[in-house]
Amino acid sequence: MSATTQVEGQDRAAVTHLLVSSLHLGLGSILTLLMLAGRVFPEVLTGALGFGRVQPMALTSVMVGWLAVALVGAAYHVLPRLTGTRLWNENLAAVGAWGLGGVGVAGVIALGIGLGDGGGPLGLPWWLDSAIAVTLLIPLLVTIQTIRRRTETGVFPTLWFVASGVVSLPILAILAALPARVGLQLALQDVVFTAGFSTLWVTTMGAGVGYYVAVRATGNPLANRQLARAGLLSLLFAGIWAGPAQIPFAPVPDWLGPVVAALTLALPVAALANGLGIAQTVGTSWSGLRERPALGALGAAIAFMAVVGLATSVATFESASALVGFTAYWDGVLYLALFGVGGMFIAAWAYQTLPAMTGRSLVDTAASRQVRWTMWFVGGTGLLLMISGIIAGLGMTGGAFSAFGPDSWSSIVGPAAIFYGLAVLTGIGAFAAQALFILNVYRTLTSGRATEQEVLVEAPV
Amino acid sequence: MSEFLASAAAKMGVPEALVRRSAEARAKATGSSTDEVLAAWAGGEAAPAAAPPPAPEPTSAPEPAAETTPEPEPVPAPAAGPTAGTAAAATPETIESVVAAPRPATPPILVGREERLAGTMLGAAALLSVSLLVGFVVASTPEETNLAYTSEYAYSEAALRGQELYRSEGCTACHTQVVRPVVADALLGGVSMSDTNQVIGTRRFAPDLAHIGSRVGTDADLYLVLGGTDGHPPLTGLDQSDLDAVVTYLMESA
Repeated sequence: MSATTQVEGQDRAAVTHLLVSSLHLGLGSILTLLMLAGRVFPEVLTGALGFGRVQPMALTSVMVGWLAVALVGAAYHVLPRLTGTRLWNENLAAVGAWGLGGVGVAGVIALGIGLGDGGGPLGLPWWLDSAIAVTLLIPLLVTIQTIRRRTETGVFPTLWFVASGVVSLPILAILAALPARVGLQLALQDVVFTAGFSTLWVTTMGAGVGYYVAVRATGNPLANRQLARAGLLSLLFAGIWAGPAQIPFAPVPDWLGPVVAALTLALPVAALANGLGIAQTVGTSWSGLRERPALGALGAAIAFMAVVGLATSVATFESASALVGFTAYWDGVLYLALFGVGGMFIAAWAYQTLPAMTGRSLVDTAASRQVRWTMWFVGGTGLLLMISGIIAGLGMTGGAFSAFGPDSWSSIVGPAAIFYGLAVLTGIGAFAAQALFILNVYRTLTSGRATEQEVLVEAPV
Repeated sequence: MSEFLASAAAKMGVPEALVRRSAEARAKATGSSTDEVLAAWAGGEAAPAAAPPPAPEPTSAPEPAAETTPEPEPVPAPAAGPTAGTAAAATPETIESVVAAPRPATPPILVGREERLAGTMLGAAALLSVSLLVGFVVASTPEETNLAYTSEYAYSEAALRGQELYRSEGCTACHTQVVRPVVADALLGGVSMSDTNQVIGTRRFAPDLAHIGSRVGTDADLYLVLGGTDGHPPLTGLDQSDLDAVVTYLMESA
């Protein structure tokens, strides 16, 4: 006879989210590769495969279908373990994964067949923007209700990050769904959403999950609570401010530039604080990363976080933003944030917790390889895009690339195109790394050797 | 109880409050008394129905043990190995192998200091709302300007339809429609000093089109480019009337 009962359906919502997000990662990776190739071969990839259409399709799949869903799944995994109570309404939580994933697919199809309206950051028609905003209220509701019912009053820092993330994302989605005037409002809506998603969702949720994984993977206690607090506050202050820096000297108020530069300084501070906090927690356990893919992914995520924070902050100063504004530099930064920071934090969470959630051991040799490939190829692609942007910026400053006609820009921008072309090649490697992650998840779920499953039990009422 | 508690806490290097809570959880999970669990931990013996937890590794960091518990927490506590939940997901062979080799699960709950989370959530929402108010709403509110040049264009209905197509076809992925007060844009025409009713865009991978109508000779040049020359992808998805609308929009952007 037992004094406790097992929590039924535990982690079902988290596993469902991981599964759905992995499918979208596959779709998003293919579309991202097509997007990169579409810039290099504009005369070959046309119509539904043209750059103009594939770019929002890729962003929709990657941001909505993959990163939003996967990190919500991570939140659902950690919530019962940090609050001491079961996840509120697991059925609704699981349905949310299919809902968000379904809206993501519908968005990709709508954009592909030309139903996009070019409004909002993802170019989706208003009814799909609205559907995304409504669906993102589910994780907010589930999180609030779970926290309200918590029996554990002690707060591990991951909860701060999760709570902040699930609040921020629906607000950003509502911003994206608002009808905007053509002109400055439309442009700002685009860049503000993108920057906010990258900072307040991907990095915030990722860092929160990172603290959790660091403790669970090593058994070490959290090294420094104040670093985590500083890291979160810095992320919240940095927030959306990197957005306007992407369109420098557009007809925005004069005061905006200095405000953007000052507040975006919080981004490298956040990367430093969270990176140090996680690294100190892992402590001496960093050795043997090859055998411990979760820690390897965690280390890679910290490195990506530092690069993104620094690259973003530097480019918000007026002299730098005049050079790289409107260029592929910002695509490189976004690529590193989404596939580097987001991808590696998600991998760290998945590799650490999949066995505990499913009772199946990880297919770990491929996992370590996936982390290494991501470091090289995602890192390489992002940096090449940034270099391409800097060169294009130099070309524009020299008076080229802006006027109309082939002689005035296409010939002079050649070096930028070369680096963009190289980014396509490394993008193929990045795609392989992402495919390997999907394969790891799939193989673990279907043929991983049986191992212990972490079972949550609760006392009878 | 207090001597067992103190002894167990000293042995694990964990604060007494955490050890007490963990012991209560373990006692509840195993059906034994808290004293028995504490005595086992203090004496280094096996706790009832489960092995004692490993003590957290010592550390010189500021808040060492406060963030982890050495044990399962009050309500959800870990079982020693998989239960029916595992069995449902595994094949008969794997069930047997799992059940044959159980060992204590690691603690599933991480805790920290007691805090209210509502403040964190409200603070995040408030900070983001203020940021959006300042960085989006205020920043994109048109300002009255005394400058002679205006960025507002008097587009015809056909041109406005062309503008919609320009947006939905993703032209903004490569083209901007904004002339900045920088050297790079010196030859592009009047600077966009105030807000505009053109599609500013966020990337310039190809020529700016703010005043394109005044930079091309005739609309024939535009038809040629949109058909797929000069490295421009052909707009294969548009019929003739759509193409006419897009060209009208661009020609009226002069």
